[in-house]
Amino acid sequence: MSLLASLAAAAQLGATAPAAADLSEARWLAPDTDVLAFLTEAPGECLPATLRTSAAAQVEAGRALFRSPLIFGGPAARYGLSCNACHRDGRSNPRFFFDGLSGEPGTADVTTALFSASREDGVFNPRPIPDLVGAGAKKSLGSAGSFHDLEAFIDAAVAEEFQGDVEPSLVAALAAYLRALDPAACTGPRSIGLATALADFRRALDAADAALARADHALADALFLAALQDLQRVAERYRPLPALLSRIHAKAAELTSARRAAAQSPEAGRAALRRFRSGLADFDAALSAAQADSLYDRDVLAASLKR
Amino acid sequence: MKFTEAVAAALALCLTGSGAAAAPSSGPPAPSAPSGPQVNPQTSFEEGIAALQAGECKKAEKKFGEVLSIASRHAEANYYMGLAKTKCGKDKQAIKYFERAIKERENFVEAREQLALASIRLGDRAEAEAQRDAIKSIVAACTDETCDAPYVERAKKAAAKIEEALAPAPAPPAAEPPADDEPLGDQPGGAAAAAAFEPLFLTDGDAGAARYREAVKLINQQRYAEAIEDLYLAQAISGPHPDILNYLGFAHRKLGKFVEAKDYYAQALAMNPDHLGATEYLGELYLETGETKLARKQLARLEKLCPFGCAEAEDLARLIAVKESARAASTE
Repeated sequence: MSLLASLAAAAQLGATAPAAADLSEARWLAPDTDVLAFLTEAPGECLPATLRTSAAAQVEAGRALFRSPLIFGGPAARYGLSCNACHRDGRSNPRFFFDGLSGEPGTADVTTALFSASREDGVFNPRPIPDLVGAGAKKSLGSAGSFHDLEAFIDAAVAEEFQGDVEPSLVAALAAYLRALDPAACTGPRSIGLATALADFRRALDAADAALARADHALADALFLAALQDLQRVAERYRPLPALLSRIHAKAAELTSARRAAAQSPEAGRAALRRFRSGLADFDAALSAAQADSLYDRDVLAASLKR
Repeated sequence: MKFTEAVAAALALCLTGSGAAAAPSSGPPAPSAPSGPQVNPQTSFEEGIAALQAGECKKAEKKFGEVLSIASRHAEANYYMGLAKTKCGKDKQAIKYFERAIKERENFVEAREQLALASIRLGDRAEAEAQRDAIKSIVAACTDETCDAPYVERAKKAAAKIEEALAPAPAPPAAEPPADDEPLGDQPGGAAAAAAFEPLFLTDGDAGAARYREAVKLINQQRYAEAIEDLYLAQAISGPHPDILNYLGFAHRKLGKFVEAKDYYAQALAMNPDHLGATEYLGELYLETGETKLARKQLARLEKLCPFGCAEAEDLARLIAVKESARAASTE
């Protein structure tokens, strides 16, 4: 019986970083992580600038889905675990840690029933989370090297590791994004701020519009959700500012209406999206004006973490 | 580890006064927690256990009172409150709490044992005999699948201890302090106290949370009966938490026990009316019992709670759509 030992061990363990639980981006971190550094800087994406255009709609769709927990099912979706949580900016994540899933920080046991039973092997065997840059050029994929097709690998990972049930067009988009990640395009660490968060949001909206233009309902719907999740991450940073938080919630309600319109017809959805986007400049300006008081500000964030 | 063995050991921490208390809950209160006096029932539960171990019965009463103000039906909290009352010499009050613990869990032999012993002290031998017989019946009904050996051993010892206490002449009724009319759960902490919960799945360094995650694994593997045992253990270690109650509801529902499932969801929602999982799964239960209108109400509630979308709303919406298209197809 190990209960006494585990109770005693539990008493020795420290709490997670203060306020980290409030920000979904900081949910999966090792206890000794410099949370402030993690929340203000990311490794940098290796996506060639030439692909960041509407011509690369498929890549942009995959990029947005990569950041959305709602392509998964089960506990991953419910607790906000996305592809990006483990593969930050498509790279690895040396600070990733989850009790019962990780051994050392930066590792994960993908053959556990914690998120899905399909691959449970009865052994705790966490492995280093790989950098996905260059994955599209690999001839074998997966921890056992048993996949030789990127789409099949993604489909299996989403379904078998995280109880996701995604349409082929979503898998194709994710594959297009991973294929686009190019070692030669790596820029090095980037700052995280309101501007980058709003850019992510707008890129997800653009991708949703492009999917509607192709009448790809499933992909468009998943991208609406991805955009809403982007907006939620912004909202988390504006929690200290109730008036702006209300404004973000109102925007979310407006976007949800556009999503409903898109479910009726792509044309109605695109029209609703156009209306939504026509009000974004004012919205962005209001958020920017208050950024210094939000959790995007390094000092405000640092003070919040200390509390 | 089977529930029965581990829970007995966890409960023994209090009975013997040995062992360490679990770590205090970490992290800030949930952002959606209502305003007002904040009670973290898990922290109060742990402090109550520590007080019991230290022999501080008044403090234990206060702490378990706080827990019961949030979760009046939590079996272990009622049991521990009974122990606290007993240690403070309030056997008559203790009996109410032991009875409540047994009502919530019939095979709670430790509560039956304590109820019997308190009853003997109050001169009620018939009640003690009834509890002894109930324990014997539980043991007789045990199979290898339903009870593990340590549990059976513990139950037999409890019955023997009651037998032994029954043997001598009944003890005179204990002197009872005057204040014995407080209603169950109406304890220091206040009914208006608001609970603060962080997701148990995400809680690090907590033995109860770790056990909860083991239960999640079993649920993912559709091993619902085993998951229920782990959830009871998580509850015994960590105190009441709506996440545990929600998955108790889920596991019971998957075993076809809709009445029990609905009851657990109701308890989870009583502790946290905004609990997304319980709101979703109660909706799924309504779908399974053919109450589609009620399922839609649950979905409407989820849509209000999730302005940015959430898996709970997405899954329930999908299931409602499947159900409705199946119904439409059958009527064509």
